[in-house]
Amino acid sequence: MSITDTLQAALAGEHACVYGYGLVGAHAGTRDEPAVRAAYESHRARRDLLAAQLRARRAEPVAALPAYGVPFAVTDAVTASRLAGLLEKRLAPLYADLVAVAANPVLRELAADALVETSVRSAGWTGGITALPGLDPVPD
Amino acid sequence: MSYGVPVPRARVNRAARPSRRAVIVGAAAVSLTACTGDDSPPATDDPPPPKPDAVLRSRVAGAERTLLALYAATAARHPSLSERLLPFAVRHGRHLAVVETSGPTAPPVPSTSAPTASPGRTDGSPTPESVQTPDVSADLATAVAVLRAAERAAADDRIADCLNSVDGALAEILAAVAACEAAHEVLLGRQA
Repeated sequence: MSITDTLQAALAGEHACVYGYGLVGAHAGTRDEPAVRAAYESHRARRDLLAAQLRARRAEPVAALPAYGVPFAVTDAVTASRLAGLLEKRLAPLYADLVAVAANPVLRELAADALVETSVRSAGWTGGITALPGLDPVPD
Repeated sequence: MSYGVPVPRARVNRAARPSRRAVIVGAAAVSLTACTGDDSPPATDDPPPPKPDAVLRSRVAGAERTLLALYAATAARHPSLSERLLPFAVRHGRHLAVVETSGPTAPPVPSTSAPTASPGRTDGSPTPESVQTPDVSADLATAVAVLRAAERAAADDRIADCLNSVDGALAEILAAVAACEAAHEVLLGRQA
C-alpha cells in the first residue's frame, strides 16, 4: 500500500474510533468518564493530524461514515468498556502499517506514538496486551 | 522458577517473516552494493562495519535479555509474584525471538577492539552469557516499581530505535515492542 492509502486507512480507523467513543461515552460508568473523554479527544486530534498529512500530500482525506456497525449491543458500562478495548485493538494494525511505510521520520514518529497510545489504552480497557500490538491478530 | 525464554514459536510467524516490502528493500540494497562493489578498491584487513539495523537488532536483543533477567530475578525473590509475572516474561521472550529472527544481527565486538568499554551502562549488547543477575528489593512494591520503570525506559528506547531503523519492517516490529512495553507499565501498576 502507498503512504497515502495507509494514511487513509488510519484516518478511517480514527473516524470509527471517534464514532465509537461517542457510543462508549453514552454508556460508560462514572468512574470511566475521564478516560473516555481523554480517549475521545485524543482520537479527534489524531484524526485531524492524519487529515493534515493527507492534505499536505494533495490527497482528499476520507470522510467519516454516517454510522458504523458495532459487533455487539452496547447497553451498559461493561459492554461500553468492551467496545472501547475493541476500538483500540482494531486501530493498532493501521498504525503499525503506517510505521512500516512512513518514509519520513516525522510521520513514522506520529505513527509509532499512536501505536503506543492505542496499546496503552487497550491495556487499560481490557486488562491485557499482546506481545506485538498491531502485528498480532486481533480477536473479535 | 526460571523464565528462560519461553517462546511460542508458532505465533512468531507474521512479524518474523520478512514482508514483501522488506524483501524488495533488501534486494535493492544488495543490487546497490553489487554495483558499487566493483569500483571499490580492495578492502583492507578490517571487516566491513556491521549494518546499522544489525547493530540495532543486537542492542534490542540485549535489552530484552536484560528485562528477562530482571523478571526472573524478581520472581525468584518474590515467589508470590511469579505466576503474575510469567505472561510478561513470555511476551519479552517473543520480543527477543522476533527481533533476532527479523534479519542479521551484529556479532559481539571482540574486547580487544573495544578498549574504551566502561563497566557502567554501555551501548553494548548483553549476550546470553553476559547478562548479570540483578539485585531485587526485598520490598514487593519496590520490586514491582522497578519493573515498571524498566518497562517505561525500554518503551522509550524502542521508540528511539524504531525511528533510527533503516528497514520499515524492523521499525514496525520495534514500534510494536514499544507499545507492548508501555502497556506493561500500565498493567503492572494495576494489580497490587
